[in-house]
Amino acid sequence: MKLFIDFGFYIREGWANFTRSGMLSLFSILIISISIAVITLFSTVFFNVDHYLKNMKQNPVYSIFLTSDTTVKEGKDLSLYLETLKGVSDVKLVLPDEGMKKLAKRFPLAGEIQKSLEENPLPLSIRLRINTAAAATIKQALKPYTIVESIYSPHFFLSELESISSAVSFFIALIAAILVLASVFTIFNVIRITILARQNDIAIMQLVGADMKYIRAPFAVEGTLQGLSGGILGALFGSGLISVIRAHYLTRFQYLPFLSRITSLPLSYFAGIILLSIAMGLFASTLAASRIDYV
Amino acid sequence: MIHFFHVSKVYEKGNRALHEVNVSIGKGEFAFLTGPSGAGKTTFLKLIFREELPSYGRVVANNQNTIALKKHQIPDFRKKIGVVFQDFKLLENRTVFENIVFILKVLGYPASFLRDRAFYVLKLVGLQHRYNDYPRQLSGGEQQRIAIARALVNEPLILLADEPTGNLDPDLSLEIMALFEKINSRGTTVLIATHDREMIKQMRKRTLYLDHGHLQEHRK
Repeated sequence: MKLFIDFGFYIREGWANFTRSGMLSLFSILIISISIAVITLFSTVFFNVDHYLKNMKQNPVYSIFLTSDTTVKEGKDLSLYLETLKGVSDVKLVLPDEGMKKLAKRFPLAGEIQKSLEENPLPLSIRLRINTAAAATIKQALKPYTIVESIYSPHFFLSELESISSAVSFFIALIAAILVLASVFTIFNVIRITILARQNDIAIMQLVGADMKYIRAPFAVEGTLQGLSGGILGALFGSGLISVIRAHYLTRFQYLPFLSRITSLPLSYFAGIILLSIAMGLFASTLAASRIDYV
Repeated sequence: MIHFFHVSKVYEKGNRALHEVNVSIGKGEFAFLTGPSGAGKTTFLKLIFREELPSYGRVVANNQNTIALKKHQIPDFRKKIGVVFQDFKLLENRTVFENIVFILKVLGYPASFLRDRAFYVLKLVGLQHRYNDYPRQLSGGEQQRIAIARALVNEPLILLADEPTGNLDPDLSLEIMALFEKINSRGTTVLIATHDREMIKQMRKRTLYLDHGHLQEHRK
């Protein structure tokens, strides 16, 4: 029961401190919001790239290019055969015109080239997803087919993308760590200033016998509230920023279609980001409050 | 209840506030501490509730040696001592009611008890109608009475008061003294630092006289 009474006291006092601090609290919240918004932005990019890579690694899309004299019937027969193989899905025969349309959509220059050539240089092709574990067996099964000109697998592209992604992830983690440190530093200093401003009150509380926990805990609550407010605002601002960037900028990169399909973070990630912000507030303010000494 | 053993207090730059003070104030006693300004009265009180530590000697209050107290033991030690400060030391951003209730909250009294107890002590000092005002809205005398109410609210074992009637008119001073006597009659040790010789004469209690840090005693 005493614990509940004490906790209620800390919350009320912390809230009173938080509202009394006015501009100082707002400054702290602003810095945390900016940091959290940037972290949200980076996390969204990281989440989407990671998701894309995982998906591509599990079921990569292969393209089987057929020789130029292959008929549509031969292409259809091969497609039907491929569908019967284990580990194969989403088999689709792509006619040269259809292939050119897709290519032109991604690379507008390709359409211009076709116009100047006056004929479509693309052969018939088959697009399909192949489970990575079954890839070698399927390649073996295709060997007797002389109509198969070449097989394009995205592994090289994926490994390149993976190494770029891991390098970028390192820098994202580094920047996030710097932002977290900056926020902790800001909250710590704001709480220190608040403590200095209330030094007289703190001394009076001590002289009338208040335990240190009654003096320190409200400051920890104040910092936690700053972290919570900054976290929520930053997460909202960050996801809003993602929507704006996606709508106005990412759609321009048509040769990287996954960019325009970037999704917002799942709720669990938002919860994690807000928890991080709360933890920053709690840690920094507890550290600042622990420096209050006995009178 | 309060013992000073060869206590001297020297501040920075060699300013000596108390010199070789030896005195005991028993449980349930009522005593005055008097002397001219700068005689060391406030230092004497500060040594009792451990706002200051002696430079030499030992101060024992409520069976606890103040020098031996560990930092985390100080709050519990102070909870048993009510202090009326000369400059009141009220929390400026809290109402009169909150100033009183704050003490009860930090002492862990149940919520149901707080309101009744706070109004009881406010009534004792005649300021229950100002419960919602802030200290800056009160006169010096009213602030002093709030400081007294705050010191009494948890029925401390020792009550220390530094010039508690300095801002009060003679009638109110007598009422406050009667209140201190009432508290004293319940077993609380009361020590009052004051300049008011008339009051000391009227009350006819034990009087400790400090002059330039040296203590003399008059028993009535």
